[in-house]
Amino acid sequence: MSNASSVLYRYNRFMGIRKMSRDESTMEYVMKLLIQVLINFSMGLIMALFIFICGLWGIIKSYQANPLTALAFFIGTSCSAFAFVSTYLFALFGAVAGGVYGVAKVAETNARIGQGQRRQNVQNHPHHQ
Amino acid sequence: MRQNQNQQIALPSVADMGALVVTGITTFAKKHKVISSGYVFGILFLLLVGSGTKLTYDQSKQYDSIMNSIDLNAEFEASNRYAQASQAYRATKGWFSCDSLCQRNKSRMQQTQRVLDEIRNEGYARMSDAKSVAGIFSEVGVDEVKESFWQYFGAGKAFAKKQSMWDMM
Repeated sequence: MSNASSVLYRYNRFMGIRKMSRDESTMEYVMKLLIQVLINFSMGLIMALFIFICGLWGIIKSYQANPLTALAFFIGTSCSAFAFVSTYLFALFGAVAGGVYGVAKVAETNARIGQGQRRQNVQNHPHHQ
Repeated sequence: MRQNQNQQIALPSVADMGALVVTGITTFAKKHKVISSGYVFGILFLLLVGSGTKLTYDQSKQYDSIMNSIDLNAEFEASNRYAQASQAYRATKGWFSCDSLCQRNKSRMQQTQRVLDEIRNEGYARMSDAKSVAGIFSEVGVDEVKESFWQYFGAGKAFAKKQSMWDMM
């Protein structure tokens, strides 16, 4: 097994690749997949942020800037990159949470309508009580 | 039926959710002052620096003249010579042995590599001189940093997409 595939294998074992089991509902499976996608995006982007910050000093050094300017640029750029990545992740998590909230709200409304109809049926046929 | 009614979870309304998010963000910002001030500083820096300061006519002229002095042909030729020497060395070397012909090819390869490295380092040094004329806060510097960021950001997203695809299979 090559090094890259071994790392991927270990990552997959850690994150838990699996198919939908008989005991879980589709909703449960979709939710777990969504969480996994969010974790993957968080890990990928946070890793990208760290690698970018590590390589940033090399770029700044090639401009032969004085140490103070270089440090100011380094701190400013690192903060900007962090702000952008965190905003992106926040928007991503927000979109998923909003979608899940919307689906749950629709399900809740449907359940309430169903209950109302059942109650009405019981009232219309008193001998069922 | 009454039991089912009791088990239902009442979801908060949209207005309540908004208030909940705002409260959450405010609490986080109050608790983690360094992270939140870094975030605000980062956005301000992004807005202030924007796409960097424009190069003046003199700066642009000097930058271009230094950049044009880099001998790309010499680097191309040295790179070709190194590739040929490396190929000759690999063709003559055994699994665990290197005879006299292989040793000669090896020393030629090392020599061409030294020449290539020297030419490349000279090129990097001239590029660095040209960049120093422009400055890190100039459009050249900011563009280079932005390009580097988008490259890593894209790689991070590609990693996430590929990994998610594996997870769904």
